[in-house]
Amino acid sequence: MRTGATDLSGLLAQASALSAQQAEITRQLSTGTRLGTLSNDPVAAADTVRLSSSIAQASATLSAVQSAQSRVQAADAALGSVNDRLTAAVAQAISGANGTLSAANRSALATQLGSIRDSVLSLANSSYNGSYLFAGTATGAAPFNKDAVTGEVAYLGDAVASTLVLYGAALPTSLAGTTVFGNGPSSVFSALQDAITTLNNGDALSTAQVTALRDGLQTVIDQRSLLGTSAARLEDASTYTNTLQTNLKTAQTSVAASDTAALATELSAAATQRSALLSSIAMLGKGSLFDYL
Amino acid sequence: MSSLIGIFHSAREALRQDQLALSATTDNISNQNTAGYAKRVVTLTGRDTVSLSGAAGPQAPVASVIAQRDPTLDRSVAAATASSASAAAVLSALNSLQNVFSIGASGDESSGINSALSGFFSAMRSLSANPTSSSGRTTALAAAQTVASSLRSTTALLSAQADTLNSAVVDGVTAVNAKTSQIAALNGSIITATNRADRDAYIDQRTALVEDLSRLVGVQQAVNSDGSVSLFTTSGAGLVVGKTSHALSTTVVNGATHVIAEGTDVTAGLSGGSIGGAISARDGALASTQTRLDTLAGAFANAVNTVNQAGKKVDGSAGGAIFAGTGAAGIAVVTTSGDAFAAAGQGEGNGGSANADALAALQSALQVGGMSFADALSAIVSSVGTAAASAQTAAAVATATLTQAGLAREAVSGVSLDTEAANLTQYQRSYEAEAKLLSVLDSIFASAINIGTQTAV
Repeated sequence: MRTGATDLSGLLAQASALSAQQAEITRQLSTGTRLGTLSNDPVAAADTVRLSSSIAQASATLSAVQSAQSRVQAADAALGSVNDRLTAAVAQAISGANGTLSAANRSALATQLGSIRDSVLSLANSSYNGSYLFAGTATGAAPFNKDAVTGEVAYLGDAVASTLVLYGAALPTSLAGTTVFGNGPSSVFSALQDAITTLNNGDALSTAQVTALRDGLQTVIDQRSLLGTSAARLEDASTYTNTLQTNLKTAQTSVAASDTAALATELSAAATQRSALLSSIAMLGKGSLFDYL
Repeated sequence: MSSLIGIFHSAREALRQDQLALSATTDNISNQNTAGYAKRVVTLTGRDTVSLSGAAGPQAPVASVIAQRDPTLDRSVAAATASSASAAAVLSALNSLQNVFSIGASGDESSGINSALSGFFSAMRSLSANPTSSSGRTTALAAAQTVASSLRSTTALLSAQADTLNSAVVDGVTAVNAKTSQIAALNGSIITATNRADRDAYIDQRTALVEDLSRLVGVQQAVNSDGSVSLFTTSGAGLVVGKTSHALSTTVVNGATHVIAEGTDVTAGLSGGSIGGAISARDGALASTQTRLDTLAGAFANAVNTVNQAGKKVDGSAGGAIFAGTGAAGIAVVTTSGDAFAAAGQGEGNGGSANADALAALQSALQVGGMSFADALSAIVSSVGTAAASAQTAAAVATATLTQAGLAREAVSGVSLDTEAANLTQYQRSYEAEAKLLSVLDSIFASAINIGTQTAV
């Protein structure tokens, strides 16, 4: 037959299980997540780990994109100025091709072209955040060096464009100086130097020399638009990554969060059950036949 | 016709039997909560009548006191105790294990490994956007050191938990040896016991001790014909054989405590009880988690080193290894400068970033048994959580089974105060009746003696 001892131990075990349940629910309510104890939902816990990693990856990608965008913007601004200078140079060269200019005029033109050349040189050696924009991947040193004696401009960088790999595709984030300004005798500096020398010699500029300057300007325009394409792709990547990050964060919140309303209901149900159980235990303890004999 | 003397003897005998019954009831009431006690039941059987000179006298019944127990139920309680203790030990160990990886409100798992890995790959990413930034390189070096230290510290936590389980095994074995020698001594006493009451008392104690032993390690029981019980581990190693007990000893193998019985390593075959549970948790979930962490650490170090060695450092020389050491316990950063990261690819100038891109791309690479690093870590987290969840279920089932087995045994051997109170009344009335009978007999005797005499006695 049933005796008091066994009933009591069984009921006490149930009461302590209910206490533990209450403690767990309270903990979930206070931390806002049910994954403090992995066993509550192991699959959600695994998902949270993956989501955290993806969110961090998206955030890092965003920073990299922003950094690249700043760099590309700086290069674009520099090329914009170069564009203006070379446009002026072409206009000067056209008037310099006129055979009826006086020596003084030619001399003045030569001086202006000289200052344009120096200006373009300085722009070609632009740097952003300590690294040179038009040096290819040899960004540690100024890419264009003008020889003090001969006035020739030599390119010291390399021909590789810097790239940023985003979602598997490589985006150019800088241009090699040779692609924009040409190299050695075919560079825009040579064309300018050539024109200056001709004018200083008292001769009119030839059609070929004007064309050379025009071609130089066109190259800069073409390369600048390539950079613009990169800038647009970077902007797209930034938008996409932002959306991705938002979605990931939403997913993580819904995976890990505890349902406050449901938990509050469970808590009060557990409390009720436990107090009912404790009353039963108290009643069981009351008396046996000995009390009545 | 029976004689007065015969009735007198019979009444006296009945009184003695009532006293015996009363003392059995007293035993039951005072041992109500004693472990292993089986309630004493008084059976009164009628005696065969004996005729002397053709006259049959009244016979008081024979009272025998029997301990009411069912050995099958005792064994099932012992087995359920072993399962329950083992499940509780496993649950406690797995709860500690899952705490190492618990997920906080911000989604970070508390071992820090996930955020360390993410931090490292983010640093590689920003290195690819700014290969020549010195602050970027400082950050990258710190991030690498964080990965190594989070792996090492998690390993240290798991080792500490393994050590706790090892100590539990050692302490358990000491306790087992104490119990088995006591049980063997009791077996000896039971074999040589002369009367039933002593024997039953020893059996009560032995039952309680076997249950205590089951809480430590699961045992199989074999009843011998001389009344002794031999105990074996679940794999068949002898703990108590008749009057002799065989002590267990422990030894350390590869940092884990193993149990030796009679010269043989029985660790893998022990199940049940706190020792069985500790061994199962230690050699099961804890060991496999550590192995997977080691695999993750090794794959990570290898992948990073390989890519770094394919690139060029800022000074133009080839990249070297960043990490060294075996497993998650030994992984360490071998360089002290952020310049060790080879950001430029082959064919690029010193300001190139193609190799840094490759390092950052490792975050999605399937380097750990066909999984990415985050996937491998999430697999560890989910398997730890799943194991803990199963352990909870197993513990609940084991507790329920134990309760049921206990109830079944209580139904047979348990003392009910109501029954004892009723019996007490019954024997008390019976005693009073016999006593009354004796006093009536006494006055009848006096009358008989006074028959035919003038003076009164």
